[in-house]
Amino acid sequence: MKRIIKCRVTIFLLLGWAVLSAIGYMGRNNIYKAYRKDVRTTPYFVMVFEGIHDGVWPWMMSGMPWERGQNVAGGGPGGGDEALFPGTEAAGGETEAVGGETEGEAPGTDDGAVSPGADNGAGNAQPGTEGTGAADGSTGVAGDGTESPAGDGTESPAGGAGDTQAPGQQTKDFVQVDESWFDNAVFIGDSRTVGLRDYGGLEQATFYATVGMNVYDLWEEKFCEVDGEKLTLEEALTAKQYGKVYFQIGINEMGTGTIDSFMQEYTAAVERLKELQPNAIIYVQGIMRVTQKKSDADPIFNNRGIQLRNERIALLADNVRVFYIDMNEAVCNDAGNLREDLTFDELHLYGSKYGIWVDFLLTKGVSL
Amino acid sequence: MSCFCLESVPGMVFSSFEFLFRFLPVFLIIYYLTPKKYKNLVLFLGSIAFYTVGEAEYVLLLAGCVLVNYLFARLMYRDYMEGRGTKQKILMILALLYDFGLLFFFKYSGFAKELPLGISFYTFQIAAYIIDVYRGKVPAEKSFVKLGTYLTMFPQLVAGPIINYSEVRAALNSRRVPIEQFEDGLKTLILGLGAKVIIADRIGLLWNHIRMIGFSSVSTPLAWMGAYAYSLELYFDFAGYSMMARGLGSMLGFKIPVNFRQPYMAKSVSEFWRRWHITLGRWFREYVYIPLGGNRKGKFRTFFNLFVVWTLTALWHGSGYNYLIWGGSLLLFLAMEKLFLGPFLEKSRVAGHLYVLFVVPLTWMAFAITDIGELGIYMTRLFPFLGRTAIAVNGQDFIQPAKDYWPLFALGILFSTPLPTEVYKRIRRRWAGSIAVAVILAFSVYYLTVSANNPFMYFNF
Repeated sequence: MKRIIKCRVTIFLLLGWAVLSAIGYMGRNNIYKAYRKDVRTTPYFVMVFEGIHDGVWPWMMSGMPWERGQNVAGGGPGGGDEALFPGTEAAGGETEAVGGETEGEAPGTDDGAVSPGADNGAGNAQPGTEGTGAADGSTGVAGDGTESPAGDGTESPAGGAGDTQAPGQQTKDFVQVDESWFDNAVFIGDSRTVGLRDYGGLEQATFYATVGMNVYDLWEEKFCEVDGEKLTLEEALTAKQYGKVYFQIGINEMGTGTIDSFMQEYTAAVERLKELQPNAIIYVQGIMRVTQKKSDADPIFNNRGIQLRNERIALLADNVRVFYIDMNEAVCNDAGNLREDLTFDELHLYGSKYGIWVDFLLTKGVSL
Repeated sequence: MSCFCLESVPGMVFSSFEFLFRFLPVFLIIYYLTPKKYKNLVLFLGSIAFYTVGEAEYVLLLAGCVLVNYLFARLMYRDYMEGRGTKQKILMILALLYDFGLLFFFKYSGFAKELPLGISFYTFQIAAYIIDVYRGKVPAEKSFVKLGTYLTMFPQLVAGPIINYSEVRAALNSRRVPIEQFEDGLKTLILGLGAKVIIADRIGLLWNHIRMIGFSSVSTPLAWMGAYAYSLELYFDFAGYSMMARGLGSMLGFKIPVNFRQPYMAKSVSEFWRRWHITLGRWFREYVYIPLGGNRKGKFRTFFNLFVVWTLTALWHGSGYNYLIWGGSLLLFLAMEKLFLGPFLEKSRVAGHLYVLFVVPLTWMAFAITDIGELGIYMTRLFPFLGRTAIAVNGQDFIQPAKDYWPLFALGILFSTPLPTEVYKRIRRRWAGSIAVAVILAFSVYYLTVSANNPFMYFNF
C-alpha cells in the first residue's frame, strides 16, 4: 500500500480522470450540451476542458440539486444557448418567420405586406435600442431582400426594383474606380480581411479585423485598434465616419447555430453598421469559398454551406445603400471552388494574391 | 514522407484521446491481467490491433515481414562457433533484399501515395536483426511470437526509436513491471506528451502561418522566425514522441533507448547528429559506416563512406529531391568539420553553438520545403541579397507573430537546454516533481482538447 501511495502521478491521473469524467457526464445534457462527442473515441472529461476553454466552468451547471430553486428562473436547457449567443433571445420568434419566407423563394406578394418602403435603409430612423431594434430591422431588410432576385444581385442591380423602392432612392450601378476610392473606406472582417490589410497594399483604408472574428463576437470584442488603443467596433465606428464600409464575415461561425441564427445576427450587424455610419454605403461581401479538396472533405466548412449563406447575405442588398459583392467571381474556378494555386491552406489567399481581391473591389465602385 | 515528422503520421497517434484514454488503458488492463506466459502474445496481438486501426490495408505486409524474417533467421542461424558459410550469406542477402526491396518499392514505385505506416522503421529494425543473427551477435529467435512482439510492439512501431533485438531480448523472455516503474513510465509518457502538445504542435502553427502567406510574401525577419519555429517544432515533436515511446516501453516492461540528447546544445553538425535521432545514427554507423571501413581507411575513404551514409540517410527520410539537397548540405558541413573546422569548434565556447544554431535551422528548411523552387524562394527571403523574389511583402508582418509566439519560443529554447532535465532529476522523487508532471498533464489535455475541438487549429480563419 505504501508503495502505491508513492505513485502520485498515477493517482492524480486516475482521480482526475474519474472526477472530471463524472462532471462531464453530469453536464452532458446541461452546460456541455454543445460539446457532445462520440464517447467511443473521446472521454467525457474532454467536455469539461472544452467548457473551460469557452469560459464555461463546472460550477455554472444548472439544475443541480443545490440550486433547484434558481433553475426555473434560469430557463432550463436554453441556458447554454443563451451563453453562446447573447442578445438574440428577443428576436427568436421573428427570425424563424424570416427564414420561412426566404426559403419559400419570396413570392412577390410578400413584399408590400412585410416591408413598407419606409423601412428601407431607414435604420437611422429606428430607435436602435439593442436587441429589439436590430430585430425589427431584420424583418424589414429580409422582406426587402425579396425584391432583388436571389442568386443574381451581384452584377446588375435589378432595374425594375426601382418601382418598389421608396421615392427618391435610386438604385445604383457598379463602376470601375481607382485606389483613391478606398481612402475613406473601412474594412471589417475575419482573417481573410486581416490578409487584405496586410497584403492588399491599401495603405489609406482602415481595417477593423482580427483572426477568428465572427458575427457573434463582433460587437463584444475589443479588436479595433485606434491610435494604439483597442476599442469595440461600436466605439471605433462612433469615433470616425467613413464613406464605405466593407463587411466580410461568416466562415468562423459555420459550425455554430443555424443559417437562420447566423443571418439574424448578420442582419442586425448590418443595421447597426448603417446606424453608426449613416452616410456610408455598405458592402456586404460574400464569404470567400474554400478549395474543392477542403470542401469535399469537410462536413461543415464546405462551399455548399458558404453558398447557402452567401445567397442569404445577397438578399440584404438594396443597391441603394447596401450592396452585395462576391469576390468568389475573381478567385474561383469554373466549378465554383477556390483555385488551388491561390492558397496553401485551402482557405486563405497567399499574400501575393490579395491583389486579385483588390482589383475585384475596384470594379465595384458606386457612382455616388 | 517516410520519416516521422509533423502532420504526416496517420492512424492512431499517441497524442490523441483515442490512444491515451481508450486504447491504452484497455490494453494495459488486459496486459497486466494476462499470465506471464501469454504477455508477449497479448502485446503482439495488441500491436497488430493498434496498427490495424491506423492502416488496415498494410497489416499483412507487417505480418509478412515478421514471418519471412523469422524463417530466414531460423534457416540461417548456426551456432557462431562453427563460423558462417555461403549458405548463411545467401540467406542474409535474400532476407535483406526482401526487406529493403519492399521499402524501395513503396518509396519509389509510386504504387501508393503514402508509405505503409512505420515501414521505414520496422524495415531497419528487422534488417539489424538479420545482420546480427548473421554475425552471430544474437541467436535466431526461436519463438515466432517473441520476434513478432519485438518488431511490432506498438510503442515504437510507427516512429521508432529503432531498437536492437539484443536490447530487448532478455525482457522478451521475462519482465516485470513494478508499480514504481509504471509510475516512472507514466511520467515519461506525460513529459513527452507535453513536449509534443504544449510546444511542438503550437509553435508549429507559426510555420503553417508562413506557408499560408506564401514564401514570396514573407519578410526576412519572419522568414528567420519561421526557420527557428520549424526547428523547435520538429525537435519537440519527434523527441516528444520518442519520450512517449520510452514511457510506454517502461509501462510494458521494456527499456527503450534514448533517441535525443539536447541536440541543439551541440557545437558541431556532427555532434548534433550524434544527439539527434540517436538510434538511426547508430544504425547507419553499425550497419553501413563501420562495415565500409569507417574512418580507418584513410581520408578519401572516410569521405566516401560519409557520402554513402548521408545519401542513404537522405533517401530514408524521403523520396523528394529536396532530401538530397538536405543530405548534401549536411554532408558538406560534416566534411568541412572533418577537414579543418572540427577542432576549432570543439575548443570554442560560443562559436560552435552559434554555428550549429545558424546552420542546422537552415538545413531543416531543405527538409521542410519539398518543392525546390519554393525552397529557392525561401532562401532568398532569408538572405535577400541572394535574389529578388518578393511579392507584396508586408515589412511589419513579424510583429504580431513575435507577440503571439514569444512565450513558445522561450519555452522551446529553455527546454532545448539541459537545465529543465537537471532540475527535474533533483525533484522527481519529491512532491514538487509530481506536481510539475501533473500540471504538464493538465495543460497537455487542455491543449489536446482545444486542438481536437477546433480542426482549424492549424488553419485559423
